[in-house]
Amino acid sequence: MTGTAIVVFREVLEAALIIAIALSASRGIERRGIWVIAGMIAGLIGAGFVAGFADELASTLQGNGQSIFNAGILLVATAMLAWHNIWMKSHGQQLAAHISSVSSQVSDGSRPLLALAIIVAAAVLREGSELVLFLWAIAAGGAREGGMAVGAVIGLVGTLLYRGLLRIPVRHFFNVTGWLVLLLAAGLAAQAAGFLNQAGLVPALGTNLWDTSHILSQRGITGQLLHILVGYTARPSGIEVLFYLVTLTAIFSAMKLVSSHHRKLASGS
Amino acid sequence: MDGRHFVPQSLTLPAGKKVRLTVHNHARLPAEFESYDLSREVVVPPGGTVHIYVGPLKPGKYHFFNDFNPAARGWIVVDDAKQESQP
Repeated sequence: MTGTAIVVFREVLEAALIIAIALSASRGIERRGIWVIAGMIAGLIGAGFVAGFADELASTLQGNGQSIFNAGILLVATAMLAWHNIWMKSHGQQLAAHISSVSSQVSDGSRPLLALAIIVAAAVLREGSELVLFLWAIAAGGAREGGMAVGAVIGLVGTLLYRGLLRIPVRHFFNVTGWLVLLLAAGLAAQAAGFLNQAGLVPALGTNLWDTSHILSQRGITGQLLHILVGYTARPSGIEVLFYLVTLTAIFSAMKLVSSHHRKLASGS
Repeated sequence: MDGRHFVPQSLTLPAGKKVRLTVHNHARLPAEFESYDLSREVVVPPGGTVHIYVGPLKPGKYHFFNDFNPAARGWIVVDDAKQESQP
């Protein structure tokens, strides 16, 4: 049972943390709740389909369908996070003002919400489909109890992160969530690189560039959390590091660019 | 592999080469070929076959397991013998 609980915990944790960050990062945008729920429902339906067609998916593209599918989902999530962050650079101050005053309406809020829904759907889809298959595999073994308890614990972890983030003063709030989203996006891109390499589509560019598993194992809870949040990998390959750095630099420069453009517009008028 | 065992349980591979592993699941339940040592993670549906590329690897021992039933374990030994004989 403990083994079951750990696997369930691991699979759902990533989705829970991503949803918590997405919720925080979209603070102050109207009607985001509906979009997040829509994203979750879409993700769950998708997860059911993926689990149901796992066999077909696995055998497509010379047995690499699943890795390529995972990489695709991760890259979509990365792109949406990137886009959200860049959008926030030009609208963040408006949102922060909105939260502190609770008076003015925030216009133009529906587009980032679609990105938010896609991020949530992607997170639920990827982890959910694996979870369905796993639960199917253990259901036959008779170890069914524990799942609910684990679900509750994970809900708590996500809620704690969300509550914790909300305690950050509004003035710094979007800076902090911006950094979180940036690192999250880079981490997801690195994971995508791993899947593409697994499918033989990109070279490894050196395996196990470094090995810090004896200092901080990726299997432990701290390693697991850092893996999801900032992309910590105990034994990364070259391609993972490359994807991480390129994503980080690309989003960061785009944010800087939009931000300075925005400032110029504000001072010019 | 079936649900609880990998057959063969250990493989020997050459160092410094990219290798394609073929994993077939004979069981009626899904499995997941996973390895922290290799950073690999692939679901293998019941009766399904997947391909996993690994390497080029340095010499050493790399463990893998079935994430859906961790009793199933195996390992890959990467051998340096060929490279040593070349120079």
